[in-house]
Amino acid sequence: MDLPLARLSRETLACIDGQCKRMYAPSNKRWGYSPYRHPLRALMRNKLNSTYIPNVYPHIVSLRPANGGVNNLGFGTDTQNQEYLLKAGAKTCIAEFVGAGLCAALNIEHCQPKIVTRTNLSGSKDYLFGSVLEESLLKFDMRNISDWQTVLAMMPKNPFFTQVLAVDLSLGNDDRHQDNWLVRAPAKTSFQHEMLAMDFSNSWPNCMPPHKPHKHPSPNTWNFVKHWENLGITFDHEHFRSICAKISGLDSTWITATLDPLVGVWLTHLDQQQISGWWDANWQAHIVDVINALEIDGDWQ
Amino acid sequence: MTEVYHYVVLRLAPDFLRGEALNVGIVLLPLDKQKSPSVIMMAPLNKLRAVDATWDTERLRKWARNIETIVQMNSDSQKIVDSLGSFGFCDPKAIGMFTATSASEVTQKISEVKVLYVSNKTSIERQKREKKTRLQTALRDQFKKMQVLGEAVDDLAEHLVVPNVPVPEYPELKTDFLYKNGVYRVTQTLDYRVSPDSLHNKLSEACVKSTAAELALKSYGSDTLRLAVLDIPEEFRDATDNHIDLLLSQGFEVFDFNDPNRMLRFYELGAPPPKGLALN
Repeated sequence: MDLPLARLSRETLACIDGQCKRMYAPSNKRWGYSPYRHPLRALMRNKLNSTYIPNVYPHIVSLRPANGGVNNLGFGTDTQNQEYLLKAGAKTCIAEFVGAGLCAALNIEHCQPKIVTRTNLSGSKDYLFGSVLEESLLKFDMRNISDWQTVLAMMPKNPFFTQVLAVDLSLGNDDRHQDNWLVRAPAKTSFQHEMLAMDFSNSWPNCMPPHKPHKHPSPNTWNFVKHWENLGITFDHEHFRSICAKISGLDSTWITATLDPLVGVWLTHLDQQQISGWWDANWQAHIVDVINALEIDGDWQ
Repeated sequence: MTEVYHYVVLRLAPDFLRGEALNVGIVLLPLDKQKSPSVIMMAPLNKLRAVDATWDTERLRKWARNIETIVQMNSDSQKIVDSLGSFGFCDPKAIGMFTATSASEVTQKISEVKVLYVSNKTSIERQKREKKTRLQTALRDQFKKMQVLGEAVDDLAEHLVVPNVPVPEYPELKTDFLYKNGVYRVTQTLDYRVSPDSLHNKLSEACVKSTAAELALKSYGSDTLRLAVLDIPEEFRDATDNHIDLLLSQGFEVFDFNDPNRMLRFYELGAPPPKGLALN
């Protein structure tokens, strides 16, 4: 059985809280002295099979750097020949996982996030964020209007862009420009293309608190929204509200679970608790602000 | 043993005011401290001169020497990258990496880096384009008129003649035309309409094409027909006798492009019956 780290963390904390002493007490013959018979050890053995364990992350063996790529390190390939778009920096990587996690919770197509490792200049391993580059991704010139129109014409008429906007505004992502999308080729049974949102590097919790919708430091997200009309993308107010309602309904157990795999990689338990605490105290009020920003200011589009 | 190599791409802005930076090489940083970092210049001078014609060999050499000095001044890889970055000679965040198990693999990976970051892409694509002889073009045109010319290897299943097919497992070697109907039919061509100085090259070309056909037989079967079409001007006839002997000894049936009767026989063997215009 492969146990998620969430459970392990709770067990670990319980252990620290004193249960461990009781379990290890010489008088407690139930567990004996063998550390391998201790229930925590059993969990540790299970954890070794988990994808969350350091040293079992995919290891990058080739990296083609992106010159001038700001947050993007470039494209990396692991030992299994899987390609990733790589990013560095703890806050950036956490924000990427949170953005992808939120998309997953709302069933919005997004890139699959992974923790990967690489050998750095000094010879030690460091952790990177890797966005899995699926084989089915199409070449798409994101700066070509006619490419956009072709792809949009072949996409299902769902409010995908409205949904991603709701996620971006919730997380204060000010960097949703035209380059931050990928196109997936249709499956064998369908002729329709799918679009994926990528790049949540600037989002909460990289920016803490999240940027208010009309106070984004970078104009990229809003500039792209202003461009929607030219591309034939429409805003679906009903879906926006509905997605915001779903986002506001995610409680702090969701964010805690989302951050769990990152503890020990880019976060400490204390960091995780602080982020979850902020979510508990402020998240719903923030989402109300996000909704109001669009309802009150009718001139945004 | 697998060794790790990092690198940064060297960027040169030929004109300070214009600020246009060009990728001109790399600094290779072996993780193994026994090995020294090296500056590898890759760009031809004309890449720089396309932006600023005042650049010459001496100026480029001086620029590279400066990079070498910066590299030698710093004790570790991170400091080298930081120094180069601070002078604007590389993007210090864009650190590439590859692994290699041998010196030859290192050379190969460096070539790949050169293609990716430095070489003029158009020239690489141009090199890949196949050179076609007049004889090959004439045969293509004839197959096209007969409406039996395919484009891709898959067209073999449609009983079409496919030009320029790589030999299985030896992609550098090609069969000029390939057709299958029951058995495979490999056609190699030799165009002798060249200057007398180049005639000696044709013997080696005959050897290569004969070897390609021989290797193709491994995949296509021993009953594969080997056909050779030769276009020999009258004045070279004597000089090419030994070429023809070589092809015959290798099991080829040889056809003279200038003999219409023989060519009719070739089209019967090397291509399906015409769907379009009659044979010329």
